[in-house]
Amino acid sequence: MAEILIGTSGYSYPEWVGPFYPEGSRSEEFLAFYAQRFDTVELNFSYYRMPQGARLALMHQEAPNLLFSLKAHQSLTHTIDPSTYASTASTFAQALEPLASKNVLLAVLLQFPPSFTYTVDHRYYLDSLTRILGHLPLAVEFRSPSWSNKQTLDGLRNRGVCFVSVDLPQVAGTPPLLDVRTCDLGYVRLHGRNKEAWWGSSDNRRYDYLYSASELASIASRVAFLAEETKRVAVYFNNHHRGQAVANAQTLKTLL
Amino acid sequence: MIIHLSIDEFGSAVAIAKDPSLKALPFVIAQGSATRSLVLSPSPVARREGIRVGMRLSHARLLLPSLFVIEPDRCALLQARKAIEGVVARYSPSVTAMGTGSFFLDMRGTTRLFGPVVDSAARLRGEIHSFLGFDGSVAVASNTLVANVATRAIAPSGLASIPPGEESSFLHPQPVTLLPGVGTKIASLLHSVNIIHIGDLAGLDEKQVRSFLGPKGLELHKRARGVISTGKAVSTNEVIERRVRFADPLIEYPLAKAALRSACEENGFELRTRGLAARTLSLALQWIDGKEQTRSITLSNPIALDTQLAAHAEILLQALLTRRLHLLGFAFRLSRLEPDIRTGDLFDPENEERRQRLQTAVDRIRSRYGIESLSISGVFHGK
Repeated sequence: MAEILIGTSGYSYPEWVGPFYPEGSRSEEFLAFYAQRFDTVELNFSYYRMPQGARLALMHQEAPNLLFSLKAHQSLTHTIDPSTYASTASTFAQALEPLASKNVLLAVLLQFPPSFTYTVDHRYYLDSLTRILGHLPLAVEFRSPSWSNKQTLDGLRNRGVCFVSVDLPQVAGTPPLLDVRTCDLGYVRLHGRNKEAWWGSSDNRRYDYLYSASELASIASRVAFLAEETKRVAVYFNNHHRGQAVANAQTLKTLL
Repeated sequence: MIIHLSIDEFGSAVAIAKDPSLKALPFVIAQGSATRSLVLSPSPVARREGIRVGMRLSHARLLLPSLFVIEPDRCALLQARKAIEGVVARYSPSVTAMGTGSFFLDMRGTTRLFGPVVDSAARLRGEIHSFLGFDGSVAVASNTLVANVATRAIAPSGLASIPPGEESSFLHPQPVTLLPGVGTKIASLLHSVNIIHIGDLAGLDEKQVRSFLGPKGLELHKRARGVISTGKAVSTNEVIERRVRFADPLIEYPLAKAALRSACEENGFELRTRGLAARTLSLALQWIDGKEQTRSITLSNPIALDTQLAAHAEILLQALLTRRLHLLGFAFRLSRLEPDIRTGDLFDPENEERRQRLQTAVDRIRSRYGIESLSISGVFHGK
């Protein structure tokens, strides 16, 4: 049975002051407070700006027991430049060194957009990227349904890369929900099930969802499945609006 | 919505559920250890080493010298199937068993009771694993075809849920070999014309399909487009056969009839254990003068109960007993086997349902105490 680590996607939300962080908390106090309650966090800022090793080392100092997963920079997943991605990937990997060397880097999340479809060019790209970052624990989340096929799963298994299990509304245009073990890491992202606001809404509305007790019970059994033959399973709630992610993560911890 | 529960290599899965220490070992389920024996079900370790169903045991041993053989345990199979049926029945009133380790649950109207279907699927998979020890694949989709392809795509284990409206986008990138009805031969034919994915087949027009797959290919083409035909299920090429050689040549009809009934019971037990029903019954008599006569009957609806099999077998026997010679023996064969689909029907005659319940009870006793523990009186009378 794997070690199950539960956390949230991001931790630095001013709107969590009140629902989670004590009233009057300052943003620089968030991480230490968060680390007292959760084992892991998924960092999203690394998607918007290239992370700096020194900054990550400081975060580790603030929360020495916290395990980090980092979302890969957008230039590696969304705005790919064929002529520079290899050097960008190396720069990104180098920045993670302070975490990797201290064994607190849980995974690197490669989250690809719906436009990144199952084409020959994209497959070559993914193969190349996973080679460059191959020394890091990798988890891939696809938003295009075209990757939900047997060849992808077999390919990830052969490369020891984790296929990310997602939970999101079951509406047309979303990828199928697939919980499949492809390596010794399990990685679950829970985006909420707000069907009405999934398409054509702001992030705040899209992720405005609180999982019910029975939904969390079913998620617990999905996590338990992933834990059967892996070493670690990372579970992140991304329904961050109004601190609902924190409430759900805390409940799930009690179920597992 | 439909949930498909599929337990890969059911025979070896049952063996592992009985003895979890087998999980890490290379074994196969096979009848006997003769060189001509075939692999019925390889264990996960054996599969990883390239051992496949239908492979000759001698060949499998060459590939994997450490391979060992476990005899099929029909009683354990039947018990496991019943146990799974007990779990799935709690989730849906309409369950269709297809083969031994495959169950389709019609989840229409269950959301209010159980919540989203995907959550039911996750709980079902968890229960099957925790309580019965089976590691299965579970898929949710709007129809049985898509759910079936999904469990094949994630096999040997996992959970899949295909959102409504995404059926085509899910099916098209899958390997064409995942499509029900595409075996090794058809796959190599399709690959020779560069049809690798289900979408490649779906993209052809009917004329093209007919030209290299013949008229039967049209059914596959429909499936590739996500269309399922209602009515007859796909039959398998397997047969179930019992050969009886009398100790002494006999001429008495009642004795031949009793032996045939006994063969019906054995064939029927195997048939039901595997979740199948037979459409064609054949009887071949071997006479003392060396001649062999065969007669077959193909039914419009497949059958599986002992009483049904015996009734048709006796008609065949009577039609063949035209010679006043001694019989050496006979072979009774069931073919055109299909998944035994019996869902509740409001218009089913009550007697039919009672017969079915009786048969189930008889099978339960036989699975516990052996096939010979219970027989219809004609068998004893003849003996």
